[in-house]
Amino acid sequence: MKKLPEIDSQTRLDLEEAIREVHLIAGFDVGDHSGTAYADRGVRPQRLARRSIAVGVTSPDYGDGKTTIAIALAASLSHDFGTNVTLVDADFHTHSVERQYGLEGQVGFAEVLAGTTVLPDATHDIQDASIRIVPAGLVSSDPARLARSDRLGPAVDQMKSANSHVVLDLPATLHSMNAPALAQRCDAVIVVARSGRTTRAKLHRALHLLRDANVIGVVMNRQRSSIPTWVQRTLGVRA
Amino acid sequence: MIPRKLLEATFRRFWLLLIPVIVTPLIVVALTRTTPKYQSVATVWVAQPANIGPAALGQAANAYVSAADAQSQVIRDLLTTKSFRGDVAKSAGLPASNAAINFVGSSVQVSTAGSNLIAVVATGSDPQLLQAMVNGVIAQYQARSADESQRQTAIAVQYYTNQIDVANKELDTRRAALTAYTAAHPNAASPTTVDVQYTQLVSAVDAQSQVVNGLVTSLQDAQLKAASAPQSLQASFSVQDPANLPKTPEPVSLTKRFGYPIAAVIFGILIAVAYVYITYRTDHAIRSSEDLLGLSVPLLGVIPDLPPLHSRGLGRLAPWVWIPSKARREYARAVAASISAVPVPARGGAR
Repeated sequence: MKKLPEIDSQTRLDLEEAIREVHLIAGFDVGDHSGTAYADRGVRPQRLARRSIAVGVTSPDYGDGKTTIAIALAASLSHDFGTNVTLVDADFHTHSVERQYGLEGQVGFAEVLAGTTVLPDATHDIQDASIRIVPAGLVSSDPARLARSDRLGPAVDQMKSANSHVVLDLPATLHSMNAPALAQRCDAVIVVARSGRTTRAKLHRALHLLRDANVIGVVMNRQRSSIPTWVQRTLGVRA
Repeated sequence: MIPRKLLEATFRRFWLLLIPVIVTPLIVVALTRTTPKYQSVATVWVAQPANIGPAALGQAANAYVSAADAQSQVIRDLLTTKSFRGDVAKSAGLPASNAAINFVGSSVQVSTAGSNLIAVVATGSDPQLLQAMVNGVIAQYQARSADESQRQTAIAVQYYTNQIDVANKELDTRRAALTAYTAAHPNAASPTTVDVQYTQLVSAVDAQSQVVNGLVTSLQDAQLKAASAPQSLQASFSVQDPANLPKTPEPVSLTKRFGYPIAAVIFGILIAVAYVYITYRTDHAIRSSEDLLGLSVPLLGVIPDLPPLHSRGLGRLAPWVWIPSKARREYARAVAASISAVPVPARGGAR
């Protein structure tokens, strides 16, 4: 059996992380020995560049589950990928994230964008979740002005420099003019569609409003199939 | 290939589709369900009605209407009267009420079974009552016919008796006038002489005598008719087959037993199909990855509708509480993995 060439420890770590990621994408169970096993089988090491990206999560309507998806995404990236994640409540209308973590009344992203505070003061460490939260803050001025603030880009850059992933809970696209402006500052945007509620026309309109952002895909939330399993099996309908 | 959305529309509220398919036949069965029907029939041989109906009023019988048609029409006419139905109900042992009267009217039918045969039919749920009603109809008809005959003959006898009295008085007057004239003119009756006035008086007496004789004959006919009314009635309305006591109910038609329920099932299915079609056509919501086709965005992940976490109260202590939690984590991890796999070009932030 051909042995892998000697590589340095940093490269080995990157390789193990990449293999683990591939395992996850493929749906395999990820164990502690996966990287080693593959390395022993002679998989050619490929160094993956460490990425630091800002992911925005939005949806056409409120109540589609974008905050839930954003929190789950941040938690999963932190827990399962072992990366540093900051979750930003950029929805100045609903303050859903800060309410979820009991950070109401705290200074947050709005103050950072308004220039009245600095990002470290607006960031809260959540020990249980192993992520950092930036609440929406005390929004007193016009949210549209905040979304178009010149401080938005540097603030996102600052968070990206300290984290592998920055997850922004954006406002609902069809209900806020801030969503497209904030989405443009994200490296990737996920649109959450609630199964059975979000119509194709609404999703199409939301995607049209986000045409200047990098929409990487749609996550369908709360999908429920009424078709019995035996019918799906008989007719060959995919679940 | 059946569209997934059509299947979703079908099974989303499947119980709603079953309602018309099940309820409609049940309603039809309930509406068409009847208690077992019995039928009592009596067959009667009839002649043209003489004492009742048009003939009783002196009208000539219609040559184009058979005796059975004429008699059955008379009975049907009588059955439209409350008094006749009341008498039938009374003779059948029913209470004297409007309900009973209406019941007789709706239960008894009279039909012809040839040119001289009529059938009196009673349909209902009580065999003995039906038999009694048929017998009641026949008995009441015969009684009415006899009464009518008696009444008419009584009137005729009375009339002719009166007419004979008057005619006899006139005859007496004329005879007296002839006697007086003969006494005054002894030779008037001589065959050798021609007395015009005498001849006129004699002719008047003869004519009146003929009138009296005619009236007497008519009176005798009326009296004969009155005396023979029961026999003639019996001859013109003779029960051939008395009302039977039905033992078994009338068979229910196949159409009523199976046709209507099957039609109702088909109608219910049509309602269900129409509902599914309308639901399918008006459902514009995104339900599966098929609905994202044409939007040029990939589907990163699907998160099913998970049951709520038992995060409060005693529910959090339940042994199965880890199942939804684990499921959530799996789905979140799958989405996160999908996102990590997407190549992201450099945009606003630093790397």
